[in-house]
Amino acid sequence: MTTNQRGCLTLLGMVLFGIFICAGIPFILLPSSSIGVTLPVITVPGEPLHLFLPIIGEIETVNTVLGMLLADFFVLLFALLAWRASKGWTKEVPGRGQGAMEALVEGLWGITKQMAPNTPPVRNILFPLMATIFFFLLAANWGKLIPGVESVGLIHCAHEGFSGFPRDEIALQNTSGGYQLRVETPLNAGYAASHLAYEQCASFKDPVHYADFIVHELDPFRDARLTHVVEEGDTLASIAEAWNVEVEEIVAGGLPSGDKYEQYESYAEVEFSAAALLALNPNLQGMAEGAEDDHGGGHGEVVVTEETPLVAGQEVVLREELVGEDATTIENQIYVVTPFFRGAATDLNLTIGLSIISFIAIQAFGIGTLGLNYFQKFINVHALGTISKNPLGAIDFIAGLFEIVSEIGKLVSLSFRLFGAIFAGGLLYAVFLFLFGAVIPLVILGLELIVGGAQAAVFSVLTLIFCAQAMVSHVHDDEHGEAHH
Amino acid sequence: MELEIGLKAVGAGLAMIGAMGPGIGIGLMVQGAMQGIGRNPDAAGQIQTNMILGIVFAEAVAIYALVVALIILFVL
Repeated sequence: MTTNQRGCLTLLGMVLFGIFICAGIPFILLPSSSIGVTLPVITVPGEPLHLFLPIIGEIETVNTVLGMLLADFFVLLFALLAWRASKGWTKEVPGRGQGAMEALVEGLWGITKQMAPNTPPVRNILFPLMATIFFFLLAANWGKLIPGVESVGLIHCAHEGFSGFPRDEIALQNTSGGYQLRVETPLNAGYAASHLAYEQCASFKDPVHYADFIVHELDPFRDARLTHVVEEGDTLASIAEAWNVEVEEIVAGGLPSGDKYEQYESYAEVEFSAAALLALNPNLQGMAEGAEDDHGGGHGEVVVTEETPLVAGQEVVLREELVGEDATTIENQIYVVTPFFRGAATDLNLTIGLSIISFIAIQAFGIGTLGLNYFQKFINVHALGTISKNPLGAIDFIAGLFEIVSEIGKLVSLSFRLFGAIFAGGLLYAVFLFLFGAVIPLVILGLELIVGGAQAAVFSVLTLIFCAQAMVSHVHDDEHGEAHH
Repeated sequence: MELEIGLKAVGAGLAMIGAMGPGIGIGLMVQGAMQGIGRNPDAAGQIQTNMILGIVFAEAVAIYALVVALIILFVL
């Protein structure tokens, strides 16, 4: 086989592989085995989780807090491994593991020595701060890439504004009550859930929630079951006109429309009220009592069509209840999955918190080294003092005022750089998984490794640089002797 | 409702025009790095380190634009 022939065969193989990955898996393979990859729930704030743990009980937390605990776990694991490798910080000749960890810390110390002088505050406070931020952010950003983080989570009813999927009725029968969500078509981003959909879903699972809903939100004209007791001379048309509903709604009993439910239309219910039954047969006194709270159930149902003569005392259902244990069908329960762990740096609370810590550290180092003269960086009274000798000092004063803006800019830029890079990376990965089922998202995973490491390094090195700059006395200190004239 | 979603999408798209500047800036930075390495191949390691640092700063501005687009889409 010549080289060209081999090359052509390889090309054919690559094209077939590409077709399989990009078209075969998302459009043919996954839907036929009724697995769907969905677009994840994208929210900027972390999502709340209600967890029932075996020993601790019920806790309510946010999934980025759990992600932060995961990052903490990795940092402590690293410290534990370093402690064991160096035999309690005592081993003089390092082995391989201890050597690697020492090289890492030496590298960080080298960067610190480049930027800041080798004084006790730097050695004891600045270097630990900078190295801790680096290790913590590295653990948080790389921990986000472990399989299972940001994908495995809790199924719960979708709140308003989220898009979710209904339960799979067929799978329900196979998995004995387990929750399997139905994703029918490829590239399906879900159904938007409204507040009513959430109430319907939650009331189905939780009678306490339904009781709360009745008290606070039940609207008798929208949510409750609407029936009408037929009187003499009523026809379907007159009832429809009186209640301002369509005749078809009475005939069909208010079931949700859609081809899935056409087979159930013949079971549309019309109920006999207890009073009507008693009027027909007084011997039914005992039974009538039990029939009071029977709706949607088995007895006394008659199909109402347009030809059915209406009997006085018969109760016609105009609309089924919208919310309640019996109101929820398979279609209107919308469920969504919230991941247990989410990358810690995808939460603005963490990034802004870390940058506030850096900000306070910068000011503390400045005041600690220079005293109150540190504020001359912003309000340059020294330049104002020498304004008679050096009129251009006014420019220094104005420049000092702009330093205040720059300080706020440091706060904002540190936090949003980290947040934007990590959040956008996670989002990109999820969207790639949604579009292609396999293989191609690995490229994004590689990019995320690089970006996560770079952002951790940049945050810590920037903190170091700003603190070192704050410790350097401002220019006019050289002319200190000339200030007292 | 539809108009609102459509306008949000337009806003997010316009916000991402701001990613054009950092793209040019990173290009200029890498150009300077390439020239420096060409003149002095021994300093390639140092030049590369400083280049990466500079690229991260420039990319931060693009990320500001992305954050504004995300806020327009998902928060407002």
